[in-house]
Amino acid sequence: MLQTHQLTKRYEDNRLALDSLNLDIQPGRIFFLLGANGAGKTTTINLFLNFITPTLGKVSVNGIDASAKPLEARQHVSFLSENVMLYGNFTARQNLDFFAKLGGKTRLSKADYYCLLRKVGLQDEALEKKLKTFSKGMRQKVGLAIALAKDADNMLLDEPTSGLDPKAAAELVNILKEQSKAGKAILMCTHDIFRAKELADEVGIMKEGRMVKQLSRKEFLQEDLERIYLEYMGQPMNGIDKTIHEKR
Amino acid sequence: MKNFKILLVHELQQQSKSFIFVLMMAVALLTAFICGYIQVDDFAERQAVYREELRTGQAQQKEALAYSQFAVPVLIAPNPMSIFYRGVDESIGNKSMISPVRLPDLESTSQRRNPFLAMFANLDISGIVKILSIFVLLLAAGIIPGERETRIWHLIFANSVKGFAYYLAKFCATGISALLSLSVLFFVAGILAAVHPMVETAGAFWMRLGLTFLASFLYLSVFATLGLAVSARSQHAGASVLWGVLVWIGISFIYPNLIGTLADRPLDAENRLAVREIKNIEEECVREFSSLKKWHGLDMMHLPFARYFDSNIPEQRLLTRSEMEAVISMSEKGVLENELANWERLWPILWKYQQGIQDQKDRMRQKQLGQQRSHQSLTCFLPDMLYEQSLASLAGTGIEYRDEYLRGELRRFRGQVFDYLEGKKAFGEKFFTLFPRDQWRDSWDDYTASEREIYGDFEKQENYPRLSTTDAPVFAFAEKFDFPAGLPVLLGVNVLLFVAGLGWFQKR
Repeated sequence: MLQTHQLTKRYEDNRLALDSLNLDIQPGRIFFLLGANGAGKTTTINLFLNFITPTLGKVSVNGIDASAKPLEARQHVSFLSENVMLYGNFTARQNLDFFAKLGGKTRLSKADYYCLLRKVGLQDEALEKKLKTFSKGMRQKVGLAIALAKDADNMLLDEPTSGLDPKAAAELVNILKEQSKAGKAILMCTHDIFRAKELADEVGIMKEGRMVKQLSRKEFLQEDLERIYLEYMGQPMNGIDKTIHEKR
Repeated sequence: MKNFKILLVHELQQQSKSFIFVLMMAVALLTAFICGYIQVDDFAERQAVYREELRTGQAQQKEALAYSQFAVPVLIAPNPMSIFYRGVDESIGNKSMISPVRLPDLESTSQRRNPFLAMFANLDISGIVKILSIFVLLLAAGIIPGERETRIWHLIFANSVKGFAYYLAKFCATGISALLSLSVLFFVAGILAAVHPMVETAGAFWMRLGLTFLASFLYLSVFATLGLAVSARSQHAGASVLWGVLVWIGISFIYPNLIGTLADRPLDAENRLAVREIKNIEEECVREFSSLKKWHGLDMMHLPFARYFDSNIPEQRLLTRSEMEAVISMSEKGVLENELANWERLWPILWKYQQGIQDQKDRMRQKQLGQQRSHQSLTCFLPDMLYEQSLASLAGTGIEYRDEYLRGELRRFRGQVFDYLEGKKAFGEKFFTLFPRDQWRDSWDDYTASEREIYGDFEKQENYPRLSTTDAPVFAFAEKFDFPAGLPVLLGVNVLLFVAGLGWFQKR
């Protein structure tokens, strides 16, 4: 369960990165945060992981205040970032082994690692190859395997489809569906509207740190999500304020 | 701290695959063999020279014909720890002769035949450790920003990993890498030393070697904490490594050399003044000696110290013993009485000269040491200085031991020699002849055939009786062991840099 309440982040240079964000992602639900670069999507994830501290509001993971008890909260979160680099001198299996152990999975065997790496779509010959020989997409797959290995209740995914080929992206969708069915709360930050339409239970459109539109699956399937997204992205912020006010 | 072990093992694996680590190990291994072999070989050579000097000195003492020729050799045995830290081992001197006619001073017996040592005199094992410090610094400096740049940092801290555990693991891994390279270096050099027949490795040697190893580790670990501290403040690995190198150059070369140059500047002026003062004392003594010669026609044939004054007054030729007899028709007894009278006149001048020179040298040395101390106090926080200070205490090759302690001991030994000589009534006629005064005759013909046989050929020195030196004092320098005060300070610097680095890291 991932929740925020009036979550606000203002940086030292007085830039408002996130403004009063309210989220409630229950177990088994997939929430897509859509928005352009600088909309506040990554800031939201960083606040869940306590990489930065909120200026105002609350952020919690499974009811644990992520700012007050970050170590405890992180135990319940798997994370996959955009452009996973990992350790180039280590093999895929060695990288997975290290991060799985850090995530508390100390008893996984070599076979378990191979199984996970195959699950995310890596070929057998790549399992014991050094990561410096991997393409961006292959590294991203290892990153996903790391997130899966932790097997936490919640998943935070920051642009996970970045660098993935269509087949791999489709495999990711299937994996996330499985995870959702297994009762995991998933927050995915992306620009990928098509993936959102395919997978999301709920979608939030962010602009300049504010959640300007939130739609349930039923709502965005009835309306054209792409059009709504582009409409909000093209509109100046004061116009969006007016639209929100009128719709209320 | 539950993830500490995982982070540590991983960081060790990561470092062991890095180019810097491989290079550091290669340098340690290669230089351990080359430097270890050269230093051990040089030590064996110094040991052989020491034994030879000892034998020669003892033989010379047995050959003395009068107390003016009496001298006690004092030799400092080469310390096997100098293989690891030469310090000022032989540069200040390792040999001295305690005699009534010369001021004791330290001379060097070093021959230094090895061209490597002639070029890199101080490239001992501690010198290699200093080279390894740059590798340790580079190893540590790139760690944190490297993981930041690649965003691995986020993946690590997305787990319940404490910043302290992460930082400590990085430090420990770098420390273990440094320890591995040190172990290679010390193991190879230690084995080379232990198997060489000329190197005596008693229990104290191994204890000192162990402490030297510890000091070397603490020294390298300062560079690990320094590198991590720089790393914690930097955003980019390249910038961090560059800063690390600049800091290393600053604290290893620029600052100590700058302070050294500034500290030596007033000393040069002081030295020039002291040398001038010594020259004044010499000139005054020469004047007094010349005046004695003028009025008493001194013949200093049995007094080796007189040669010193002779060289300063080449225009005046001394009368020889045969000239005394031939030219001024002095009797045999008269010649001897004349020599005794001359000796009694000369001795106060010589004594005054010796005391004056000694006092002046002491003043000069005190100033030098004072300067050395002020230099030390300005650089005492530098890891290089703390390391050298620790090793000097352990190896007994530091300036404090070599200069202050040894010279102090030499003066004490000299006092004992004078007591011994006074006990032997050596400052009378025995100073230049063993021929008893009550047996001196007016004419050479008055001596018996056996006396002529014994005392007649001082210059040929074949049958002339030798001094009995069996009860002469024998001196040896105590092997000094000072607690290496630099060790706890190095530990303190480590803790300080670690805490500072951790603070910077936690802030970010």
